[in-house]
Amino acid sequence: MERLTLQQYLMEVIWPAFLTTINVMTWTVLISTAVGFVLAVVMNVTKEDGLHPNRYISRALDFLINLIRSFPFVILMVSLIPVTRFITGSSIGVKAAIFPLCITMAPYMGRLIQSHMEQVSKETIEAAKSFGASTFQIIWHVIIVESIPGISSVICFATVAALNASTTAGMVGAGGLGNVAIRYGYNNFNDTIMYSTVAILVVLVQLIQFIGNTVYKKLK
Amino acid sequence: MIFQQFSLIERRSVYKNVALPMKCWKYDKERIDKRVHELLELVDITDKINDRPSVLSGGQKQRVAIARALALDSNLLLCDEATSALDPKTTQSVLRLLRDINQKLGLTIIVVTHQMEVVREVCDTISILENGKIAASGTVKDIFLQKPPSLMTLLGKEDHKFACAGETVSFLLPADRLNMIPMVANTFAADILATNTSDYKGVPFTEVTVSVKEQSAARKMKETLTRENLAWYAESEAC
Repeated sequence: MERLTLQQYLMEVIWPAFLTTINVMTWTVLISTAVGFVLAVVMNVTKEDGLHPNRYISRALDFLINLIRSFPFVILMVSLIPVTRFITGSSIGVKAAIFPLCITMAPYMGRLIQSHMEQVSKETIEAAKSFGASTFQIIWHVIIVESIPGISSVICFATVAALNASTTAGMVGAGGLGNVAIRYGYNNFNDTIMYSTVAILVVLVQLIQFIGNTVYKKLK
Repeated sequence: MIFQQFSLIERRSVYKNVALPMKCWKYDKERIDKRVHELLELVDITDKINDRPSVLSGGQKQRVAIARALALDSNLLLCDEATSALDPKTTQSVLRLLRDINQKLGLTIIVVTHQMEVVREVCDTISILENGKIAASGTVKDIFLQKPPSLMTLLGKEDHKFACAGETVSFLLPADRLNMIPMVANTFAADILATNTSDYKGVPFTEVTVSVKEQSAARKMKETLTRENLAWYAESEAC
């Protein structure tokens, strides 16, 4: 089979793969941040010294999160295939990749966001209690407000993680840059493609981190 | 309630910090706005209204915290070690502010502290807590004159007794009555054992400790002190 020219590669392989990666990454980050955020709030409220301690909810969440985190991503993705098919209607393609990615990322996000919420000073929360703020008001006006810079850095971290994980998602035919590096580069003995794809990923990660740092500084 | 570490929301401006309690209680915007300006004027920090707490000094932060604590027109202000993280000069200015507020608003202030100068500076009455129980209680002047064991323990001082010779009387003199000292010494044949000046609510008082040998002289002296409206405490020692 004829090898494609570099320009063809760029236009027909890398560009669509780039768009797919961005697509998968964006949705994964959005959904897993939203889910992780809810998890973090619930964990924060129900923890032992939280606003409404509840051992059962807290322990159940803890167990569930650790359970999901202990799965290697590929295994999790494969074992989730029936659920994925049920929810997204297909077990291959972009949507089929986003779903397991979110399932594996959300608990991480929950843990990380919670660890930033944890750092909000107990005294500040006590102060809010002293002027009669409700649990919801304390979460909204104190805990979330104070942990926003932390949450922004978690989102930045998650974006990079999602970018990496989307490579593996190529296994269910979702495509993406990582997949190009493996299939067209590594498996095809084409170093140029492999390293140029990696180079794009490097630039992307640097860019994400730069934006993340800037936003963090702005918010701080 | 105000705290040792100020407990302000670091990512919100001074204005929003002070407005938060009222926002939680669903006051309308105009009322909040008016009240925030009033309060910041009261604690004298109007120029920092849009700054974040992170650019403020400790004293300024505590002023904002006081404004926030007063936002809901409470009639009790609880100060939990409120000056423990401040330098002496700032402590003084925060205490002056508390005294002002106490007089202007007729607000009861409960101060929890281990700094005795804070007690002298702002308090009328004092209770000493020891092992979770009230070990001594009374007006500030009385307690500092009596020096109960709990106070000495708190200060980490030995309860030192003067060489016993009759009755030991301690009393507090305002600065303009210091001329009473020679009078007391002469009239009642009293030996002056110690004097010590400290400020009570911003007014200097001198604590004079004398010993009186004669029982009758001691009685007359206590009568005189009572008549002169001075705080005194007497201890007769068995030796």
